[in-house]
Amino acid sequence: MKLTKIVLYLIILTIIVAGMLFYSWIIKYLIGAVIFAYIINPWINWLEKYYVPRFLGIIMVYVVMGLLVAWGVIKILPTVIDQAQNLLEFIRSSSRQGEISLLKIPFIQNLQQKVIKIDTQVPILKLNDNFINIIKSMNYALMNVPNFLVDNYQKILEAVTLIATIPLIGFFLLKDNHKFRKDFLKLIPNRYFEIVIILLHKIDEIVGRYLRAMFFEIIIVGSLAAIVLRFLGVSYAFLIGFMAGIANVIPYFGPIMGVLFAIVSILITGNPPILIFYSIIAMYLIQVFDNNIIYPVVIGKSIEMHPLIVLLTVLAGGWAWGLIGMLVSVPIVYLIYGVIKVLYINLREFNLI
Amino acid sequence: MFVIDFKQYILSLLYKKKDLDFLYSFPIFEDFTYHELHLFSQIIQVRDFKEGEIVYQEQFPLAVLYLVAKGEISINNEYQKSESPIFINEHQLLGFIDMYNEDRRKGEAKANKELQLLAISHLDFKSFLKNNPRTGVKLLNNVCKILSKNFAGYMQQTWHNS
Repeated sequence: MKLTKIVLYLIILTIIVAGMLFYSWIIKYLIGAVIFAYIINPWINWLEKYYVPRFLGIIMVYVVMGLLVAWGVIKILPTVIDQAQNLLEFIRSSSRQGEISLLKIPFIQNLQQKVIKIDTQVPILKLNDNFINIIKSMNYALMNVPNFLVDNYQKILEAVTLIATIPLIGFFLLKDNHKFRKDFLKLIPNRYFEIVIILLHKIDEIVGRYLRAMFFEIIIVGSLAAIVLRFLGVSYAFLIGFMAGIANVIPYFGPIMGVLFAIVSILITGNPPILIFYSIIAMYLIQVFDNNIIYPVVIGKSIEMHPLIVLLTVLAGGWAWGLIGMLVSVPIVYLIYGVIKVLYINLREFNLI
Repeated sequence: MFVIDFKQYILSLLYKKKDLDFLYSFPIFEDFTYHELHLFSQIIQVRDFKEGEIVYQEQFPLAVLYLVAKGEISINNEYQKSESPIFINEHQLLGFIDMYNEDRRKGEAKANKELQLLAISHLDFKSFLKNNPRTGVKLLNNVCKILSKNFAGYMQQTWHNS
């Protein structure tokens, strides 16, 4: 290789590294915008097919989304916030009234009655003392929830900025996505062109399909759960539906978490215990609907992940980045696994490995 | 008198007219509207090859369809080493028939002279046909026209030689 060529490559590499360092703080915005663009791109393509220029299509979709968000803010968000505030108020009042105020919850009161009954029959067990200790530690954890929200207000503010910036970056990604693709392919030498064009298509398909499916699943499962639980008379139905929809992105365990949210709400608020049974059946039916209708229609065929791998991924995600890590780790691993699989198969077919 | 060509003005606003005019020179797109051509141009890549450069190798997956914009491609087949190579010239198609009955390249394609190709991923092509059935019918009709013309020429040549 000629010296001038080596120097040129070194300069390009330095510029790339410097550029990455310079733009590193906006990477999360860019990732958010790419996800956003993937989700709404099919609508822009559909409009373009009917003579609507891309920029106009994007504006139209933004307006419709804006109206939907506004409707959600006016109609649904107050209910969700109200329910969340009621829950927080409940926790706060618990912390004000003393350490063992969780004992005022009807379900826990019933449980304590039974524990005391056992204690009177077998005093040596001292079950009530242990029971109160457990309640104390649970109460301590609950008392810290409002403090957590206050301590992390900066992060919450950052998240709001992130959400506001994403559509702006997304606009340009959507408008010029074909141009970006063409410009990228121009950089590829002829020798690798065929494999790169195939990889781009397949990766685009895997990522796009998965992200869109995730988005629709969150909305459909969340809405169905909220409506059904509300119909059953479960308290905090909208909040539970919202959380169940988001938890649904974790295969196998997400749906169980949705059921657990409902059970906890029924136990805390003193709803009739039979509602636990109805909620389990309702959430199970929603899962059947999701697995047999929503998922096959939106995703089609998918890559199978063993439940053990899902469990380990969720645990590792939780260990590394907390609650957010638990939610995003499975989709990230799923996508990386899918991309590596496509890469491996195609590199072999083109005799590159 | 100064007259504004309103239609041309709108077209220039909506589409990259210069790029589309270049594509109109290909018989495969002759009856396309600007809009149809604009949609199809999104999946086209223009590739330049030097003389002697390999376009694809034998047994590679059939991934991309080509239209020759400039120059000539020669195709050598392993089983026809004794025979002369097949030449594909300007505005001719490559891979459009094999796409439906082969998943591997049957020969090695090389640039005979300075070459410019329009490349279309066969996956993009099939997606385009699926999402734009009307334009797809037009496109496949034009492909058939070109292939039948080539075939007739080939038969005439064979008959003449014999």
